[in-house]
Amino acid sequence: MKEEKFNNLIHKIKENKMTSLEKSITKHNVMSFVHNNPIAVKKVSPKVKSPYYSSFSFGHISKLVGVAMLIVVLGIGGISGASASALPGDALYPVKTNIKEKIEEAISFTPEAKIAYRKRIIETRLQETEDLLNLNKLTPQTQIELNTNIENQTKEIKNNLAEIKKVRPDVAKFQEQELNQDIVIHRTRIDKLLEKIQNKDTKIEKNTLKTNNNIETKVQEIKNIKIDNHVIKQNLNTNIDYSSNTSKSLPKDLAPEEKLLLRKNQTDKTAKEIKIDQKIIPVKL
Amino acid sequence: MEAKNENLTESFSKAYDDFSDAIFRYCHYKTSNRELALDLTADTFTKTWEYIADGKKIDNLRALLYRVANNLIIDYHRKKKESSLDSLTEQGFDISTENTKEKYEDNFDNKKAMEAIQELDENYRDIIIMRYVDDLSIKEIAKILNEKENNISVKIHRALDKLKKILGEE
Repeated sequence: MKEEKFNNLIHKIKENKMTSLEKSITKHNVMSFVHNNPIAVKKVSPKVKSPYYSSFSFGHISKLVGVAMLIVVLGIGGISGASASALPGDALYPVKTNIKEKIEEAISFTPEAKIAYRKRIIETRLQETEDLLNLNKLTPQTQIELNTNIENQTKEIKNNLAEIKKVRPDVAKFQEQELNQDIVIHRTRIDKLLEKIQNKDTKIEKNTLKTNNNIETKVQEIKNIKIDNHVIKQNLNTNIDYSSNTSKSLPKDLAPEEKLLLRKNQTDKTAKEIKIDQKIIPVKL
Repeated sequence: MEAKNENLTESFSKAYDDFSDAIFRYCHYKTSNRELALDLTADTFTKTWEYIADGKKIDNLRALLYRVANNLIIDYHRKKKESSLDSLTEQGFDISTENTKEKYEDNFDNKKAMEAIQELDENYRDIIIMRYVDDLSIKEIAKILNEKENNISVKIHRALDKLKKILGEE
């Protein structure tokens, strides 16, 4: 029944059309428009070469500029790449910290990306400290600078976390946990590095002490040898001509005992001088 | 070139004979105004010819005609909305008389058919007319309404259900 009604409806709707008069009038109007507006012929104009065109035109210049830019980009990229392994004190280290790292920071737009970037920087600074220590090039000044950089990055990470916390507290909580873990790892690493530095210092001190002791022992030996020589000389020949001595000549009118005593004092003094001089020598490990 | 132009003119004339009634019906159902529907039908064909004369490629002339008609109807409704009732009254436009006149001009053979189809949502009404009155394919309807064929099929199914319910209640 419904189907029949539907077909009837469609049939009735189809009957709604223009009358033959309406149709012919409209067609007349439309076809008049068609005849008055024929298909447009598209004229393809040939390319005309500019009379001002020459071999020095912009086409060539733009190519040269392109090549120059490519060279500059590749050059910067090469220097930047080479600076990646630079350490404080190296010529390329400022390129690493002032250009490469600044660019990386600039292209880190979201707080999450900034946190990741700062973590990488902290890792790099720790690695640099270790490398410098291994190369025996870590000065107190460099150590302070590297530590300050690590502290600054950690502060910035905390600021970024605060930003994330405003929008997505759950993500911020996760990042905070990660950061705390990283801090523990970094602290352990810093402690080990400090221990390493202290061990090196202790070793230096020990070596210095050992060297000084060696020098003192040597001096003492020399002193003893000299004293022994004098005793032997005194025993064998009391009439030694001290004027032939290469060191300091003694007065001729002195008694042999007095000369011996004076010579002993001089020897002691020389020994002391040697000891003092040896202490000044820089100790190389 | 002239021969090509002649061929196209002939094809276009034939297209008018074949599709003008369907376009008129479509415009009439969308505007409920016979005179306006006649004008929109003429405009649809002239606009389409302008498109052809401009050298643009056409895949389906029938679908293009519906699309042009649809755009013209949208423009008409937009303009109608813009001219406020106050300004029309100021110009001496008698709303009640005009509406009455429109009513009398809607001289459908079957008033009930018009009422039933008007009870459908606009989207469903267009689709039912295109599919069952003008015998357009689902692909052509999809192209005219810029929708996916699957969506059109689903809409046809829903529109039929609604229409059958309307007819059942009568």
